[in-house]
Amino acid sequence: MVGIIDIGLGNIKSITNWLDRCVVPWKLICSPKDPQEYEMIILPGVGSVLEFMTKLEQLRFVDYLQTKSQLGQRILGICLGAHVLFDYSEEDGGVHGLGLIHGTVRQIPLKSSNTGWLPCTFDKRPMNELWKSQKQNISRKQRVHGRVFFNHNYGIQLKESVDIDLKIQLEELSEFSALVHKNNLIACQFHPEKSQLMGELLLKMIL
Amino acid sequence: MRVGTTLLFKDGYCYQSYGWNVLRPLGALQNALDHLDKYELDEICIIRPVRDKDYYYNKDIQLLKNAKSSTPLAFGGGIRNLNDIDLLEGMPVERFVVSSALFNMNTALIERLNAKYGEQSIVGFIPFSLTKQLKVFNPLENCFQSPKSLNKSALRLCDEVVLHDCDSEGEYTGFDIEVVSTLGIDKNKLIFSGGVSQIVSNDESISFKPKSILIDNKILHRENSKKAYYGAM
Repeated sequence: MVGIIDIGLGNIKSITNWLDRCVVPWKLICSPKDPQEYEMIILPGVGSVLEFMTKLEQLRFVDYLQTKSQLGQRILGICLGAHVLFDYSEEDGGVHGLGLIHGTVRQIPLKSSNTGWLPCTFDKRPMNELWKSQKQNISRKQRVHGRVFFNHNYGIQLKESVDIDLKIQLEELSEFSALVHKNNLIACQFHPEKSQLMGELLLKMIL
Repeated sequence: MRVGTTLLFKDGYCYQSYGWNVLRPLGALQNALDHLDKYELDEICIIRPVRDKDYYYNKDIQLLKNAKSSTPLAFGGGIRNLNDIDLLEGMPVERFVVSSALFNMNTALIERLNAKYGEQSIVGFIPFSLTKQLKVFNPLENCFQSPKSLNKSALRLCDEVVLHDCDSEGEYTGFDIEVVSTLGIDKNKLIFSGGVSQIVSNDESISFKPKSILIDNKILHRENSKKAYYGAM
């Protein structure tokens, strides 16, 4: 079962559609008192960081996510959901994130957003056993190459070494991360739920 | 450059529009999205062609909330006040398209969208006609007006802007590139729509490529459209 943090923001419907397409059971987590154990928790994207973090704090999801992460819960953050996993974001005048991965979210050096499709190669082999030895084992693929959909004005710049750090395959954004994996966490700058076949393969590989 | 499509959605059904005048039915929204997903387009822009009064906003929004697509979606048409924005919550959509807000001197609506969904989520939509002189369509007034009626501040808040050629809508060619210099919008954020294949196939006619082209929804009728457009690039 996959849990999706529901704070009334983000493209939750796109996430549930994505999970449905991959035949993965899911449940919305509407309260931090939710007692259920999940194989993975998804923090959805789309929005602005100030409103997103404020809602997470108001609904007491900050402690929930930090505690779950410390206990080794697998968490997948998507786009804005990925940004809040880091220490700090420059968006909306500067907002502190959950600090689960050391890094900063900075404005990208483009005249408008990075909206579109870029190539991405994901190799599962550097991932730890927590991700490799799952019961579900939807796919035994180790490596996948395809195109993924980006839609962002701010990007991730890491400040620590991690298990996987895939950079954005665009010259101007080569210092920004497309996907970061550290221990039990994955931060995904692109939208796997809207990346058509590549997105479905990715989900099946990490679950 | 992305290659996407527009999908007109009105009163619960999808349509293809010709020349800003004739609507040809395409069927239910989910049906159209399922077909478009097969083409693996770069994006789908769902537009409600609202002119003047809008009686079906709530109904269409509910239908859209249940839509399923693995392709990035943008939605617009009828987002006119702050209450309309609240109804957008929970939609499977990445970006929002505004048109009437571009004619409003008050930018509160775009600023609210910005705060709620982020700068990257706002797309402006300017339907235009360039027969003798350039005129842009104001949905609030339901008529074509001088481009001077556009609010430049609102345009600056948009991440990208769709220039939609009403005269060539639904046609294979005819997009009038002159609109770019006449309107003077930042070239780095333009999307072309309405008779765009000529622009794509005749690269030398323009010194830049738009960020995206939207090839109308005729892709549903001409099955080879997407391949043709990619081939032309």
